[in-house]
Amino acid sequence: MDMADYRLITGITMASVSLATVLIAGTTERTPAGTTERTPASRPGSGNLGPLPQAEAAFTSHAPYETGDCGLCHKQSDPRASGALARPVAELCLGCHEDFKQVLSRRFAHAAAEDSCVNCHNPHNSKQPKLLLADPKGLCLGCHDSIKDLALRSKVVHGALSTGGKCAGCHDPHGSEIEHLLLRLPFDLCVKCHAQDGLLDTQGKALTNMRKLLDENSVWHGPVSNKDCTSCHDPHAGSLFRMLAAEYPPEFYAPYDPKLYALCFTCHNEQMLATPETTTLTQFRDGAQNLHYLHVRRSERGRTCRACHEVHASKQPHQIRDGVPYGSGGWILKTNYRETPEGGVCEKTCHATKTYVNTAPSPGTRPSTE
Amino acid sequence: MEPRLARIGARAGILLWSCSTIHPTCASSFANMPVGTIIEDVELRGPDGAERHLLEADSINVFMFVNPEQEHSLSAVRAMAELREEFAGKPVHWGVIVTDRAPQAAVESMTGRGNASIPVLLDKGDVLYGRFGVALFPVAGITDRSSRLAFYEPFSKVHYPTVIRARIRYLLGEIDQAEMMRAVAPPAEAEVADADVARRFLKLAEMLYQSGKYEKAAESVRHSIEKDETLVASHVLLGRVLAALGRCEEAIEAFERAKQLDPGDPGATGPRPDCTQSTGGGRLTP
Repeated sequence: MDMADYRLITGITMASVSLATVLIAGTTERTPAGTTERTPASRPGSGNLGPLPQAEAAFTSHAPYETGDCGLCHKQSDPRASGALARPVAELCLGCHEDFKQVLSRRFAHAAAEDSCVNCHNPHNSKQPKLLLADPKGLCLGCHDSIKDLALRSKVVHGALSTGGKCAGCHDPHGSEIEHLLLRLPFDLCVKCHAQDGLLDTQGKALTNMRKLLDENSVWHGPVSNKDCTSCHDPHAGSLFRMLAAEYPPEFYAPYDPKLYALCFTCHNEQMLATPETTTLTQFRDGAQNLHYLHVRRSERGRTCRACHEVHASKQPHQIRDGVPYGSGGWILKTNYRETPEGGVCEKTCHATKTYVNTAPSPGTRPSTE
Repeated sequence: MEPRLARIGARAGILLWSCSTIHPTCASSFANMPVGTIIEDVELRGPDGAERHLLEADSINVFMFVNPEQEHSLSAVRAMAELREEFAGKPVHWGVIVTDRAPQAAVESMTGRGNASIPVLLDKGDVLYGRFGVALFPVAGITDRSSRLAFYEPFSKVHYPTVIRARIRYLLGEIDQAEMMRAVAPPAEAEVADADVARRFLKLAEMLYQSGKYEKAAESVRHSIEKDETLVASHVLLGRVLAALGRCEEAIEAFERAKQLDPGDPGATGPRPDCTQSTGGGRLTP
């Protein structure tokens, strides 16, 4: 028997296995009340589990196939007629790949992997790494339509989708203890790349070295502290600045429009900016006078969030900025914010020094000290 | 309880368990209610008009401030409802707190038919919101059985139910602190280790050995040893394979190496197969 015959016969056998395979893609959480998300779809390479044609060079080859030991997986050892599989696919695979028993028992398992290894892997050989049936990205997007659609309609596609391990750079395609089959919590994944100088966006603009920024600024925004970059950024693709999940005011000044603050209002309370007097909705108040309302709620030169707050981290409480750009010459006007036991003070900054006291029960604006 | 009084109620020395697990200087609590504070129970009216307690005595209390018009809140409430089912029958008391200014339709939609089933408390005039110093939605407070605020958990889009579950299980005494921490901040998934690859080659070699393909079995088990020289079973199998091939001296070496690695391993110290070889032969007696 020559290898071409062998490959042909094995290919036919494995194709029948593939056709019998139910393809289900998605993630399954193993909890009593856990949700089961499954997205039926077709798989690239479906029905093509045979070895590559002899003329095509394999990138990876499975050891039992490489050694011609068909009988390890098939009922017969004869490559010309290896017959059906000797045991179910998973049993065969996990018989040697024992470590995947633990991987597949993690809280979140990839339904495609739970169903059958050959949903994604060719058991003989492949032009792809890890015996994959297709290019890793194409293989994933073959089922995960929503990500494919998002990538197609977005102005910017995250570089992580097309570099390094591609999808597998962030997701474990078998199982994980973290939702979405993530290899780590989002922040830990993001800083694998976003912790270096010289990283550029699609326009050639430098991206922030997040590790450096966070090392130098100890007051972190809640989602950063929670390692949850995905609360604000879409990790796959997007059409907004920096792939933000919703609108965020791009300018220092803007007339108040709640739509501009859609991103902030995914967590923060819109009433904080909509209520002129309150003793409950914000700590940035003088007595009951809501100073957030005072700064932001203006028809013309309303100060946007970025006028006073850093988005990721700062050195001052409440992520108050160190300074703000003033004029076109690049001068930075210091904010000089200071927190006090009763509230806070901004000294010699955008305005003359002003103090606020948020423990007072009624409005009582403190006069400027200068 | 007034906000400042609540601070007085905080007990010294209580660890800021929750936030410090991620980052030492993150916003660690409700602005007016530090972790460690003994929370005072209040009665609030539900959307159905019934009075409900924020806390239940001798229970773990999980209360969450939410905005029924925000997606993150809805997602968190759904997760809470699932966790509530998961902990059914255990001393865990649940409630979501919504401003009484929230549109009735939004509140009903959040917990209505087919949606999350969880008790809702209406916060009249945002009094509780102000008392705790809530800064964002959704955010959960979790007390121990003494009504002490044990954890402050602001929302995260990923991993939130896992964190809440781990906190509750810890307070119930079902898991220890180390296990809770592993759930809250899971270690990175390990890359496929050489030891795992070694076991794969060992398994392949075992199958080849059983089917009488000794040369191939020897090749495979040697790959295994290359990947993990300390895997005793590989050396034992190599000994058997080499014995079957009649390479007795090499087989003895393999068994001796296995014995050296683990003197208590039954494969290394037990009966060895007969070996008849071209260069000698005999029994591979330990």
